[in-house]
Amino acid sequence: MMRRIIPVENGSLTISLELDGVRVQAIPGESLAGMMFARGVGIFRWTSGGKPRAPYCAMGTCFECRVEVRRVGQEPVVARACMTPVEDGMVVNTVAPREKL
Amino acid sequence: MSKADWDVAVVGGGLVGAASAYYLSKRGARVLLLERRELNGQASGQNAGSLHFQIEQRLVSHGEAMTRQAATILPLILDAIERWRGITAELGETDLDVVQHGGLMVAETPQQVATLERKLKLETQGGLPTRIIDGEELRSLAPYLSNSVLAATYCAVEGHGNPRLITAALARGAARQGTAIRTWTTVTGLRREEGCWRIETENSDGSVRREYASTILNAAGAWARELAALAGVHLPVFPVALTMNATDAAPPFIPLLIQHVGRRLSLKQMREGNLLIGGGWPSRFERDRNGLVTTRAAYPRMESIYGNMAVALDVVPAVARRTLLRSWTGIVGITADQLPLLGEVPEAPGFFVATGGSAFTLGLTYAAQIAELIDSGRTPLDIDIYGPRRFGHLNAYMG
Amino acid sequence: MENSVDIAIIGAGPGGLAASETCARFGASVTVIDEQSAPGGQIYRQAPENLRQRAEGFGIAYVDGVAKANAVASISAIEWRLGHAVWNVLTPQRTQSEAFLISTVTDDGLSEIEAKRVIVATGCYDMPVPFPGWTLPGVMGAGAIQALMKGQRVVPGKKIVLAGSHPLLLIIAEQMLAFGERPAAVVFSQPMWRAGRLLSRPGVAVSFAEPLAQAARAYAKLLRAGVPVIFSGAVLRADGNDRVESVTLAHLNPATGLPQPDNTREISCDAVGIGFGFTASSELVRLAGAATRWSRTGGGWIAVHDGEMRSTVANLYVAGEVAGIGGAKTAAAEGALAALSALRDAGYGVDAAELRRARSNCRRNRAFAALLQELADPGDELLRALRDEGTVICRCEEITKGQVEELLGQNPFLGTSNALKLLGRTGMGACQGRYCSRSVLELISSATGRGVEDIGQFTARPPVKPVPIHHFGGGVRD
Ligand SMILES: Cc1cc2nc3c(=O)[nH]c(=O)nc-3n(C[C@H](O)[C@H](O)[C@H](O)COP(=O)(O)OP(=O)(O)OC[C@H]3O[C@@H](n4cnc5c(N)ncnc54)[C@H](O)[C@@H]3O)c2cc1C
Ligand SMILES: Cc1cc2nc3c(=O)[nH]c(=O)nc-3n(C[C@H](O)[C@H](O)[C@H](O)COP(=O)(O)OP(=O)(O)OC[C@H]3O[C@@H](n4cnc5c(N)ncnc54)[C@H](O)[C@@H]3O)c2cc1C
Ligand code: FES
Repeated sequence: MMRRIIPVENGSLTISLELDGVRVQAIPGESLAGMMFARGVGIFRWTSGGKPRAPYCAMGTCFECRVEVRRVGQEPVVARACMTPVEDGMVVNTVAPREKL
Repeated sequence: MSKADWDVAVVGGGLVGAASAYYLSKRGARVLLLERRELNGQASGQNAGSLHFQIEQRLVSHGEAMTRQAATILPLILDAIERWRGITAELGETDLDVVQHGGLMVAETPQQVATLERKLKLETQGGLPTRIIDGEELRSLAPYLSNSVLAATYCAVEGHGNPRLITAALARGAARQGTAIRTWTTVTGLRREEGCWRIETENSDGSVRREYASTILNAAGAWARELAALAGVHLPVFPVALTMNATDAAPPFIPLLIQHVGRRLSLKQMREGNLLIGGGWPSRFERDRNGLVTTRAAYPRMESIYGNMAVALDVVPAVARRTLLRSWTGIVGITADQLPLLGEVPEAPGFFVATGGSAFTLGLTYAAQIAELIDSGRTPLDIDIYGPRRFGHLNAYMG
Repeated sequence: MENSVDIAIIGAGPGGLAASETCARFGASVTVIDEQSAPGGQIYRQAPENLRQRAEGFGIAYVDGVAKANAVASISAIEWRLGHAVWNVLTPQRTQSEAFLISTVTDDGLSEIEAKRVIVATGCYDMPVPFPGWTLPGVMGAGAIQALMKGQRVVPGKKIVLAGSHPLLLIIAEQMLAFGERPAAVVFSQPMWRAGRLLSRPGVAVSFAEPLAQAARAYAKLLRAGVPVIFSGAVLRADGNDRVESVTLAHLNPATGLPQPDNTREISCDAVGIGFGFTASSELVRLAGAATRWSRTGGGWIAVHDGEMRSTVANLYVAGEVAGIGGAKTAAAEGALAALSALRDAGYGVDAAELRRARSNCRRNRAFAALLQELADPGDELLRALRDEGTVICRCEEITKGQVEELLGQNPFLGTSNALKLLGRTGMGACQGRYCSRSVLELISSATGRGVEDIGQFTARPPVKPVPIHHFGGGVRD
């Protein structure tokens, strides 16, 4: 399974956000994809054809890592997990098939 | 018997050309369809796909006289409603993504509501089933509309076609009926010779060809003026570049076509979930020493992208949750008086034209009328006022 | 116009960084834009502060490169726009002014940059190669696995198979080892003797001793660690239930280089990195109206440029992978040269000797790049053989090879990428066609016999990276 390749001290997990309804701690500056991989999340979204998808390029070109992100005081938008840094108070949802608007 | 190889040579492989070829070959004509590049490569494949039957915003917002003139188009619209309803089955296709679930033209100010009422009167006189709705009824019909919308006219048969699919399906239908289709073939010369038209063409591989047709149908869209000039006549059709936008796919939530009576907006959700957002926002042509370059794609103006998104956000707030996936441009031909241009050019016998704005909504109708006119010399609808005769003053000294 | 900078540089990889440094040295006003939050590009991708430990695991060149990137980043004369994705570029002709208009989007909104000259150094991405199962979670570009390690210090699996034809696979595997991650297998499609044959060409071994030694060291390390390094092999398919669980490995016929269906075996794994090479990120170049040309082994559609990195659009320059895949050193050499020509065109006193040196530096590096391209080339026949009817070609719109072929059959007049996109939706999704354009081109070509240049590419349209629409409610900030 996916995981960190260096030890991470609990003290550095200073960001607090919500992932699929669960409160999680994250490292400042890491991407949503990094945080999700470190927590073992394997599926980031489902296609409208009902197929699971996860990061393919990890560098912002494939758009397979799209998740729904709500930053404090903003509308929820669909964003690339690999290019979006974690933020305090963020609400992140992996995207279900034909998600409810 | 003349030496014509073809009864009709249709020039232009957009919706109007492909549909004309379809209707003409269905009537038994020997048809040649000539397209400079690829089928559906221009306006017919780039447009918003709105089947808008209510009188258009651009027509109602230019004064009473224009509005009344616009109302003369209603018989064509009534024809289009039925044609779109039947086209999928007629072509033997299963799904061309033609949707006629209804459409709203919204108003956000009292003045705009007044315009809606004026427009409604004309439509009612012309037999178009439209009515004005507001309050609870409007909210329950279209809960996604912003509170800024005061009222809307509702037309139950509006909707959208799919610009990606219809022209290709018409071309397949035409080909099945024997139409010869040549793409990458530009018409470079037209000359009246012994009672028929000599057509010179140039293929993209450099080869040239000369053949003969009894009749030419100019379906060259924004390039209709240039094509007419090859035949030695003036047709005042001007290229206009417009911008379109698509969002990422959303779950279905907008079944209706949304238009605005006072601002530039058209919005609809396609089968795959994407929202198409347009409404007549301008693009720019490249320019060179010869003026506008209409042979390359125009490019969107930033003001158009910003402006169009802003209107969409105002009218349908949930658009804020989408991402703008793509903005593109298309080139449409508009006549000097904004009316369709439909008929034979009196100064050039055997040279017909079918073009005009909104030729997606009305394209099938234009094509059916012109096919019948070419074949039988008559049309079921009175299209005389749309004839090239009205520009006869331009051609009086040509020849 | 008063607000416009002399030179804007898009991309802060080795190419863009070398260009920025050169521009700053001449005192030009320069803005560097990159979507990433730190400079370095792909090869010197940086981790956030709390995840920077053990950077030496990526090798000394990485540590040096990052240090260099940060040194450039501290040059106070350069204005940085990091975290800015460029989504549109309009040329002066199109803005009807003296300046380019560059539109960017950040997490916070939209902004615009005006510049008299622009250097595009947007790099590349893993070349997409469709095969059955390539859309399964866990299957990714080989470069992606490296990017996750460098940028986030995570790996996408415990049993990772690296497969393809690019020597970079060796480097990635070696870097994994440095972090105690042992790849399940490294699979090359080439026979082992292919490298040897290239190296035996006169002059090659001497001129390119350093990178060759690096690859050889990595290979030896893998063997010592007991990592199976397989030649003449290819991953035929990936299988699993919502995630890759195994791949089927085929032995390639040494004569034809094609898979032998009766000579396969299954390897259990939980992630796969596919590395057959790279595709240039040339979309901004195309959007600005500059010419590109097809390079089968050198990155797909790459920017056309003159001997001094000028594109075909006035005052638009290119550098690095976007001008043809060539690696970090080539990118840096071209970045410097692009900057020198931009500076000279802008009237700065650029020494002729310096320009000459920069030119010959580029030439030398391009010679190595050409060799690397030849070495890494899997051959189109192999890539074609990897996809079957049901293989997804367009990941975004979920369109299979079979569906594309059916459309081409039903519509004999389809002859360009744009027309197929319109009718079949391939290329209409969020990736803007980056991941299907090559396959689409090949499928049209085999169906119609038309040439690559005639089939063309999808017209580049803004936004090259999708923009959240709520930002348009807020207008533009400077
Ligand atoms: C962005 C945009 C949005 C629009 N939205 C709508 C809408 O929602 N609803 C609606 O009703 N209408 C809409 N329109 C208008 C509509 O798209 C057009 O009126 C219609 O598609 C015109 O069809 P056509 O076949 O006449 O022209 P085209 O589709 O442009 O076809 C003309 C063809 O002629 C070819 N040609 C030109 N010269 C030659 C030559 N010398 N030799 C050979 N071939 C030649 C061209 O290559 C072209 O393919 C929109 C237009 C645009 C641009
Ligand atoms: C995932 C990956 C891993 C690689 N690893 C190695 C390696 O280990 N060793 C090696 O020798 N080579 C590696 N390469 C090849 C590598 O690309 C080059 O060696 C080198 O990084 C090229 O430099 P460059 O300046 O041309 O482009 P890059 O380094 O790719 O820099 C381009 C920059 O442009 C930015 N950018 C692109 N588009 C936009 C936009 N629209 N808006 C804003 N910013 C944008 C990107 O974020 C990126 O930072 C890798 C390539 C990839 C794709
Ligand atoms: S993984 Fe490709 S865009 Fe994020």
